Amino acid sequence: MKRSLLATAWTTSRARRGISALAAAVALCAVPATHAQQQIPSKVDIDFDRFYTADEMEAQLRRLANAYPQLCHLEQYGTSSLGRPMWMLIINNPKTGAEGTKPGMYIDGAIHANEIQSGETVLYTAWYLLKAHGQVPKLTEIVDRTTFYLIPLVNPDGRVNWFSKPNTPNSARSGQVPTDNDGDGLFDEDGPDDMNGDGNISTMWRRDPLGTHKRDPRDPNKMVAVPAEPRADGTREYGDWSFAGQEGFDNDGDGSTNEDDAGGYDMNRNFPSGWQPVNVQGGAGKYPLCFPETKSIVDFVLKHPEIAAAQAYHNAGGMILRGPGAQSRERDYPRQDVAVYDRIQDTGAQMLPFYKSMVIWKDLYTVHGGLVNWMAEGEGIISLTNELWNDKRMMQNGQEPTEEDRKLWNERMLFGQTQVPLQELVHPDYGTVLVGGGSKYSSRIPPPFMLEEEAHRNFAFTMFHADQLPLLRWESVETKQVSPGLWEVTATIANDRLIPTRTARAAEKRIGYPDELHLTGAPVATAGLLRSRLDRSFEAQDFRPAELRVERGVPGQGSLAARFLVTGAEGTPITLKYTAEKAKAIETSVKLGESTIKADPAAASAAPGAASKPAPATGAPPKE
Amino acid sequence: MHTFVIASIVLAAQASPTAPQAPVPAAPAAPAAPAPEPIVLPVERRNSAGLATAIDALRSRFPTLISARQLATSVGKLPIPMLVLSSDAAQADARPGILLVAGMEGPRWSAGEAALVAAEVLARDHADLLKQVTIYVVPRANPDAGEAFSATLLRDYSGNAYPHDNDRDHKFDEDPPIDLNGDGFITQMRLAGAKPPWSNPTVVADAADARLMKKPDATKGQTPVYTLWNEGIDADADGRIGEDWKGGINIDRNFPHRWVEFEDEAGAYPLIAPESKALADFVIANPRIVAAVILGRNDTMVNVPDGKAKTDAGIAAMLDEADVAPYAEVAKAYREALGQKRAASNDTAGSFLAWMNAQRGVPTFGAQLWGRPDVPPKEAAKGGPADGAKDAAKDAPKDSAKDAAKDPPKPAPEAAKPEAPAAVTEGARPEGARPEGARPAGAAPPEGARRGQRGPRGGMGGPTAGPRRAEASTEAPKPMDEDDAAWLAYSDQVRGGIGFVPWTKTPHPQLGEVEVGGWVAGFKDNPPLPEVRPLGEKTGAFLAKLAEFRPVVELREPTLTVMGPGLYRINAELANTGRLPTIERGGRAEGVTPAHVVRISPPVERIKSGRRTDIVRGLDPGEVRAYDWIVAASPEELVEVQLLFAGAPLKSFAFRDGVRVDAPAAPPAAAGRPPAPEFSAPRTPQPQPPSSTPIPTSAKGGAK
Repeated sequence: MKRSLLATAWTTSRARRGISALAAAVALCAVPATHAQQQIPSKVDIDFDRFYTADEMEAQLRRLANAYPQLCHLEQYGTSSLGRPMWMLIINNPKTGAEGTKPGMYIDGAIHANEIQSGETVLYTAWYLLKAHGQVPKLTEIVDRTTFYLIPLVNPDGRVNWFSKPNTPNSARSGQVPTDNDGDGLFDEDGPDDMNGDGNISTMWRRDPLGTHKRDPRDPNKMVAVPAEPRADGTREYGDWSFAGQEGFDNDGDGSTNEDDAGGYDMNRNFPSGWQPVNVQGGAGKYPLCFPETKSIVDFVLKHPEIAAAQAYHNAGGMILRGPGAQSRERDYPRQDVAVYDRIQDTGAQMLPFYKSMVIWKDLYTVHGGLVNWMAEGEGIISLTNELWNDKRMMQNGQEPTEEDRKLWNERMLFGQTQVPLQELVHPDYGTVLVGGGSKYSSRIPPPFMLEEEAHRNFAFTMFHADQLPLLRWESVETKQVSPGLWEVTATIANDRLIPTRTARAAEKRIGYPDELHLTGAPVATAGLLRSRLDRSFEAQDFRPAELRVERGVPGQGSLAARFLVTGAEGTPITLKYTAEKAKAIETSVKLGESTIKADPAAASAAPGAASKPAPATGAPPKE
Repeated sequence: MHTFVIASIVLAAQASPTAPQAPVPAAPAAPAAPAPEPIVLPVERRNSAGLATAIDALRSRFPTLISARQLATSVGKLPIPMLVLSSDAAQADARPGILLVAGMEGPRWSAGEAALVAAEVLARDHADLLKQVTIYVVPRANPDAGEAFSATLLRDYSGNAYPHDNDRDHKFDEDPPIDLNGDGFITQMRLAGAKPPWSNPTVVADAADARLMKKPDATKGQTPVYTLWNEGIDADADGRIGEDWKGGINIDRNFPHRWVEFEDEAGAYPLIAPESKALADFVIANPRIVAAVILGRNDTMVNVPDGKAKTDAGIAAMLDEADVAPYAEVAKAYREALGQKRAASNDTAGSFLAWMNAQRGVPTFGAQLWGRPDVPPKEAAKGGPADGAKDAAKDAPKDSAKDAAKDPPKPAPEAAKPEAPAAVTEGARPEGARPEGARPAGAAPPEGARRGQRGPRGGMGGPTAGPRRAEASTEAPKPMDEDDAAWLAYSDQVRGGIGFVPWTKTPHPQLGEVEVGGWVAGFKDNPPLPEVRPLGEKTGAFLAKLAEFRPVVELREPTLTVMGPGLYRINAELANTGRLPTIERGGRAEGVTPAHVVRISPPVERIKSGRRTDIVRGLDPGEVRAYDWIVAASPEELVEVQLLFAGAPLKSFAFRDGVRVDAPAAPPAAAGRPPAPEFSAPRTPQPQPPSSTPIPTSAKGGAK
């Protein structure tokens, strides 16, 4: 009852959204836990039970950008290999700070163009965040303190190919720069061919009196292997058909079929950290970032050091992957960073049915030059890749579907839509062939009716990731007189989220700029970082002590302590400012003689009179 | 030889009055034949306008053989010119090519000069070769560094003009090294007993020569005495001195093979420097380049790689073992041509050289032009004079002081005064006299050497600590870095002391008084000016020789045997009759670079035996691939055996009805992609720089 009233109030207040949003937010907080998701209106209706071509995707981004100009804008961050504009939607609320003044999260999809639902997942993220801003308190808060850089289609050329040309669930993964895969000096001259004209590349079976397979008499679209074991009487059974590979011809007459398809490289093996040439890593490209698609992203990220989290969506398998991609780079993931990854990934495994938290090289396969690897290892960004969709979603019981289960799923749930009936055709080299099988939608991609759920769950998990971006506050500022006119100013800065302002990787490799803690308003005699607020001595920063450099930043769910010795009269106002590339700066002012927390009066005083108090035997000597 | 003498005379005549008066190597009596007038007169530290003038001169002297293109524009907006030596500019890219690259570093000015001279020599003496082979010459691949070094202030640095905040304080180039003593060089500063907040001492003076700094030998109870800095001040009050200078990316650390992530000079990612990328893209776009030579810091000519070093991923660090033998032959030819016996070894991580061999498979050679020359053996061991000569003399053989007197550099007057801080050598410091706050021996690198920043060269000893002389011994102490000591001897005895600025007391606004001194930038990198043209001539001759070594892929005349009605056996051979592989192992992976393709025309179903298409990724010198096809063909059908490269037919043989017939005319070989824009020289006439800004021979304390 209460809920429906609220919903009504909400609907009628749409015209006064700015004011009512806050009221609604407050009111919603009071609502007991519910199971249904609040239906929130959007200025742009987008269906998430369908997939979008590159042009349609661009049009949807444009609609969003036009509908929410105060919250987002569309930026062309580059031009693809074949000359298509590459689009990024940037979501930022300028009222809470310009881009670059708050932490950023980068989210992309479809660098492998065949992994199509990753594009819709990014589009869903944009759509949901924009409509929820001002309506859902949690998401409003996330949007207000974060800049989102969203690229639905990293590889628009491949997207165009996948939708407009015959493909398999695995093809058009590559960018589309003509590439001489077989080294014969010709480019893309022998790709597969859509012999039956159905828009898919499926499989071929050639007629063969000594065949390995026969058609299932009850289901002529099913090929059944004949046993290689002789019958009891010693004779051997043969089928009528043998597998003849992917649908296509030997277009260049070199004796191999379909060996030089469009493109033929892997842009997610083309990023700098740990990049290896093609004799180690297939598809790596001739050098790191040789493709405009990859280079534009890296150049953008290098210009946006506020990016502290990243998600690059792929399909398939239901995985939440982190690096390293190769065992040799294990040492590039310091223990402290791994702890952050573990917390985020494990949460993902709870939120995403049948998804597993995994490490790329250990649990999947070795990858050199992946985007998330560069983000994590080269830039110190907490970066993940979700492999969207898991076939267990077909099942009620969460088991891996059997061959029979898949057949029933296709027949009963999809009405046979992803299967192309076998058709007899004449092949110039093979004679009679059967062509057919799974369409390009037949694996890796959720059926449209499940797309929205898949997109929402992954969006929700990625918002959990975004919510872990560093958020700083002053935990304490204490001033204590050491001697007349000399003050000890001790400050602690807390970060309540999981991601530190500087990852251990960033600190170790001195990536980007260190954080800085500045004190102004009184002359600083010396200053240094403390291991804890209660430490009595510090290692002095000898030069420019009023501008402490904090290479290690503020840890996740922890705090940083620092102390300044300043001179000045009691009551002198001083200002402290903490700046970080990956967190919103914070500033506070106190007067000498004031403290924001009440120290234990029994604790050792810094006053000269107390200095004679013997140090505990266990007390560590001041660090030299 | 005659050209050699004339060139030397011409050079001597045009050399500036203050140019080093190093002895011109004695030449045998010249024959009477007149020598052609040299076009390129090497100069020290040519600026980009001077480079354009030289290129213009070469082009106008050899208009039919030399053209120029602009490879790219540097970060500092300077052109990167490339000379194209070919009898037919339009066909140049369709012929086998050899690439010569110089000028990747700033201080090594002689490499670019030698490259220009080599271009002249090739056009002058090898016009016939240029009908078959195209030679590309990039005299200055890193024009920003070259331009910086053509200015008046010399510094050992090779970055391009890419902005870089070295000390990560949000300010760019705010604390550059400064020439405190006004000698025109950025050298080093040392201070004994520096105390916090300034960096603690890390080194001691080497007893063998107090000018040389070395790590203290902790096993002998030595403790650090000196702190070393770049010459400069702490302009930004961060406690570090001269640590944030202009630039940049060292383009020869910015290539993808063994690129060093997070090294300051290596760039944010491989080929981010437009200069590096231009070279890489040029090589990739021109698969007919069969070999390359890089005149620069890396040497593979004297110390030929053995092919054993591997990367973490298990591929060749430079060269595969199987490619070493032919490679070594070229290196030998180079040594014979240039006479170089000694070479410095440098780290090739991220270099153009390593990338070319290991990832492109193009045989590419690193040449330093010259190495440290010999000095008379009995002189070599002596320490040169310097401030601190007193201590050096104490530990050195008896005649050292006498040597010091007769063999300048003359110590600066104030250094000779008794109150001047004498260098504290390793033997002179009392045991246990550890300065306040001293770190353990050898613990700290010199200021500026952190995070991959290259410290000032030559300040520290070599990687291994040499044995220290016994306290009681009368033997001369052995220098920790014998190579540095030998350079010093060469500088002192042959070059009038121009290579090393003696440590000299200089007031410092923050440290009080320091000593400024150290190696002169570029001294070890460049031969004396008069030797440059002869070395360039020899480089040109060597390149002609290298062109003769090039791989030559031949499809030999096939034979045909009739095996039955309409059934033929056709045998053919593909051979590399050159002395280099077509592609080294590093470039043989599928799709790296176009392969040679041998194919036979009938469709696959009528090729009863043999493969219709053979993709040949790499053919070693002397390697022969035999083809044995059995084909069924109708009497009227033309059966063709073809060799192709990069999609274009190179050679074709045809049979009809079992009889050899003329092959159908092949279309002309593809001429490659459209040429790069013509190089247009900046038209502002500018005098050559050297006469105004030579390396002074009279660098403080130099020979008079």
